[in-house]
Amino acid sequence: MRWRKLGRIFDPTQHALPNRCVQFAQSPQVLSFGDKIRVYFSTRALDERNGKFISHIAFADFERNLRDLIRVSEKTVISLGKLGCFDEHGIFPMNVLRHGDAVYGYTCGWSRRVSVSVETSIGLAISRDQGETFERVGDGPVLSASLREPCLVGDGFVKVIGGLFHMWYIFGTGWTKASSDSPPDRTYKIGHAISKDGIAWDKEEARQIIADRLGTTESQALPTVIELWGRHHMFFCYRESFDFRTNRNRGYRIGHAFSDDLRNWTRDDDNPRLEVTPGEWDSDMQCYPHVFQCDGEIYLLYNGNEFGRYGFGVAILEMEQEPTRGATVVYGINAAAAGQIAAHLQSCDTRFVPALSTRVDIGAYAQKIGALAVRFEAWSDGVLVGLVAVYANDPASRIAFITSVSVQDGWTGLGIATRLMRDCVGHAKRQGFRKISLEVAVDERRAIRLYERHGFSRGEINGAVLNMHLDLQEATH
Amino acid sequence: MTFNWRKLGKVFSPQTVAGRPWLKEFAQAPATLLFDDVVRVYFSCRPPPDAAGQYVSYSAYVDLDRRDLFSVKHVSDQPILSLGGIGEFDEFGTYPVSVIRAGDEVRAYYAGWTRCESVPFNVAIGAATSRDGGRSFVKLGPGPILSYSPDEPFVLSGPKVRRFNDTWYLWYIAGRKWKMVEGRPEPVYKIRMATSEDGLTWRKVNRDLIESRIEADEAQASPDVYHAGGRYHMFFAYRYSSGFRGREHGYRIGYASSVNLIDWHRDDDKCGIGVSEEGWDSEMVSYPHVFDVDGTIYMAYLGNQVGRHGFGLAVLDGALE
Repeated sequence: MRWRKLGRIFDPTQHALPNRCVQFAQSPQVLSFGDKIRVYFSTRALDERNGKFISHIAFADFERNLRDLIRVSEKTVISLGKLGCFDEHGIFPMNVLRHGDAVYGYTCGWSRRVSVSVETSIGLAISRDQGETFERVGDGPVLSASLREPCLVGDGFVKVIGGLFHMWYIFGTGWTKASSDSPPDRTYKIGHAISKDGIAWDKEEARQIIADRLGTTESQALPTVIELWGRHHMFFCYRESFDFRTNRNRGYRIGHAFSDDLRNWTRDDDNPRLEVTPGEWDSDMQCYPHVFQCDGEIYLLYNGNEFGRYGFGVAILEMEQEPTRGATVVYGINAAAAGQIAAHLQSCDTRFVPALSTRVDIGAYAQKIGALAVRFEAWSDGVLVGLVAVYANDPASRIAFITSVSVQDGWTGLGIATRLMRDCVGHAKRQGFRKISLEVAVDERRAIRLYERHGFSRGEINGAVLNMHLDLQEATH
Repeated sequence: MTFNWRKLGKVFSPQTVAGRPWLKEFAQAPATLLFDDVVRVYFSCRPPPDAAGQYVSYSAYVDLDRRDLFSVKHVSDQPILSLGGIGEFDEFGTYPVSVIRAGDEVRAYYAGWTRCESVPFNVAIGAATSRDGGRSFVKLGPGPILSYSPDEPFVLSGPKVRRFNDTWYLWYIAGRKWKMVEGRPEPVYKIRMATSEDGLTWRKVNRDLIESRIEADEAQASPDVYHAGGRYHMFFAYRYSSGFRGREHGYRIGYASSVNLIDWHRDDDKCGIGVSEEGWDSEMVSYPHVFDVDGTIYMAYLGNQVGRHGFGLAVLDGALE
């Protein structure tokens, strides 16, 4: 695997930013919408009282091609904390995820200290207006220093896996001075916590889950985790703990590790590798990675030189060969129980346009599919990763109706949808149906292309919905 | 019926102790541990302030003769706890401390102090253990054992540990807001509680135990719980949110009782101890600690300037019920 760099896509100095921020667009973090990709980032204003920086959250909306900018947030996304609170002097970064109708934002709050520059903790703020603004659940943090994590808990990245909240975050191991006359610098490592509700967390207290590459003085920051082909991949950044700000040989680089059990991680920084190209915006430093899927591609957002003072860029994952480990897919028919169908549809929820949960009760819909539809299924390790469901129960009209086509994040691009559609069409044909119809959102161009490849033709358009059909008596495949 | 506390006077004055530069003034937050021959009273003290006028706090103990509590037998030669390392929560103070026996060990819960830029300090609660009978303590870790959460955003202080019916209880205070008073941030805090099966993993109750009486921003401190007569008795200190360094708005001792440790009925009129007309406790009284020695119930407490000149004792005439 390798990252193909597409260059910088956002320069904060070229835009008007809220909260009188002028530079920095750090730690880009994605929230996907049907028609756009929102990228939250941390930007900075100057504290006029003392000339120090204050970090604020803002966002930029992009077309789903991640090239064309639609809009930059005009107003405050989340206010800073009150006097004496953990997030009084800045929020950097904020990780966002959808949870039910809400968007959860896990903030890293900064408050200034006297003997050291700062202390951080992780807070939770919730948005009920699709991520335009966030309100904190309380004035205090949900995760902070504890018995064996003495300082600097921050950089939370949260993902719900199997109904359980997982958080990867960093904790400080302590402050030290490179020499007696230099200010103290910190070292931090990546840790892990779990939660049932996203608010009360159980830490794996002080367990460093990613091995050091640079030795004990390696600082690791900003983990991001994505499941690809049945394996969990973590990207993060790492650097030396001293002399890292301007010395390009000691500054941030992107690290990578993978895990099959969410407990043991194997570090593998060079696969995929992000090249350092001299003279570029990211030639001296590469930091604050965020990896996500969009329309079948896997993207890396990251910051370049000077910790993202001049914005963020994007790279796209390229495969030199098909993934092997963990990619075994078994195809079946009508094997899934309603609960498995519901879990699968839930995991694909936002891949539907509009999101499936905005149109149907997923539980009831899965029950109906389980009872009435013929299901063509792709399985991996007992998990339903792809599904085509067709109602073929109208022998009078002999018209079958495909109600749902879905492939889970991390399993796209492997030909699963093509195989399931082929099985579905073959089945309908053998059963003597004369026609298959389906409905698709008019702007779902990738899906429409898929159906056209299987011989479907475009029919009438009702609002945002395109009807497509396949005449089986004429179909040649 | 009001409790009848008879004041016995000041029992320990830090200014009388020689040869301990870290114990120059203050003897705050008395907390006792009983031995066969002595009553050991832990307290917190301070060396002189630094050039910028800033204090650090240490904790120490004084051994009082069990048969004559006004006879000082020994003062600890060293602080019982070291200050934390750079950037740690207890870098600038370990104050106050509450101790309890746990098997062969003595466990200490203490508040650790750090210094902040926009407000003067922040506080979280740490734990330490002693294997030499409470003379010195080793921290369980470099970080706090009870710290900030959504509803308890800062200043977790004043821990008092107790064990009732095999459950550990920790009473403490949690900051509610920093209030600007004459251009200076002053913390408002309320009494809270957490429970534990082992004294290590704590579950917060997440509610104010004691209703505020004198004003909404009343600051409540130093909850001290004692079991007697089939109910739980809490003595605590409270003050106004401004002007509290003088007599009128300074610390007073309040009282509440409970049968289940969760629901508390406040009844300050019953408390039975207040400021004196004159003398060392004429402006304020605070940090009550109730303990029993050989069938007699005492209260240790602080007087003017929150214990700058030491702590005193009162004895209860009658019963706690």
